[in-house]
Amino acid sequence: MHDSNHIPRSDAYETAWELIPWYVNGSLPEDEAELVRHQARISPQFAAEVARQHDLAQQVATVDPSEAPVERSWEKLRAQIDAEATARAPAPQPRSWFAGLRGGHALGGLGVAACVLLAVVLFQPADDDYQTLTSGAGADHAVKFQLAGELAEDDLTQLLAAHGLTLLDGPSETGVYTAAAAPEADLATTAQALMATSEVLFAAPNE
Amino acid sequence: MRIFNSLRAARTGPRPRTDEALLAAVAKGDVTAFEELHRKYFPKLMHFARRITDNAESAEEVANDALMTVWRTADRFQGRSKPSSWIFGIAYRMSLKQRQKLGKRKGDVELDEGLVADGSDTETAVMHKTDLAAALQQLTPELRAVVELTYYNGYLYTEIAEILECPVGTVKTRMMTARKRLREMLSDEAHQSSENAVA
Repeated sequence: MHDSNHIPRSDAYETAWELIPWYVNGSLPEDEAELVRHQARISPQFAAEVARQHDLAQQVATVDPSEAPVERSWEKLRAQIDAEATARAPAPQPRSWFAGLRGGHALGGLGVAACVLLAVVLFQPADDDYQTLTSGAGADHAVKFQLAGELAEDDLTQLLAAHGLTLLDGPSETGVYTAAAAPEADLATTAQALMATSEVLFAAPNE
Repeated sequence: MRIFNSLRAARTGPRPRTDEALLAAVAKGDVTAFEELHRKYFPKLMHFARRITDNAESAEEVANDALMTVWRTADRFQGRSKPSSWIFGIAYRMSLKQRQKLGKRKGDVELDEGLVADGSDTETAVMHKTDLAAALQQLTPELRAVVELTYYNGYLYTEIAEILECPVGTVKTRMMTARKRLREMLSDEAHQSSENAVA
């Protein structure tokens, strides 16, 4: 009932009354919008409520407009993405000095590079996952852990940084995170230290 | 004709990608697509989060965290809902957690799912923006979220149900309760203003 005289209203009236906000914001499907229009045509009280909700909608859309620092936010997220990508990427391989040769001595270096490349190809192990000792900064040299409770992203980043770790991935569906450790870090010690904090429930080297 | 079309395309620039296309690209690690998504959603998410948390700093943090979650988990989006509903859903849950952390529940008007507006007040309420902002703050975050998603973001009740992860009936009931509470609070304000004017 929506009137002061306590006259029972029809189901159609009640249903249409409920739908007014979505009629006002223009999202209502045509059949439901027609229900609302019909009630507004036959009931001045209903029409008044539609008008009132129109006013409310306009004011909600303009009230308390806050400046959204889009640039600042993007810079922060971009830096975070770059940091995570760097943590995921393997450390520079010894053969990267070829790049310098290619740039500085393109023609002269080409022959040398071709020879060395041939040597690298010939002596490379068949295993595709082959990595040099300096490439241990990826997920292979990492710690897996689960949090004891909720932790804001910034707090988690700080916690990991305090243990020389960078978040790589997570949470998985089971709430497991993976964090990359520095190449020289001892994973067992790092995992133990991480687990000793109140925020972490369980931590172990990623094996 | 084709020349005209290509000229027109060159003049108007490339057509904006749909949210679905952007999310698919983000899932593959496309930072440009993520930037486009960020530009589109950050202001909306921040406004929404601010409404729930009552705190600009927290709202910015929530909007950032929500978008970072989108970046990290875009490959898990299965298209069961609209991308915008999925993104707002993430922001909504983060906002509630943030609000709990801030201990902001004091002073909220109790959420009463059973309440149905009686519509007896047909007077035209005099609603000033400051009054409305104050009145909105008096609502629970759950009610405020429905008002915000309806009137600021233009969502249909079914989409709001997806975002809030609740039944459609709950969305409608919350909206009815919010309408009733706002009408009461704003007509009180109008009543007090007129009394002050007489005095």
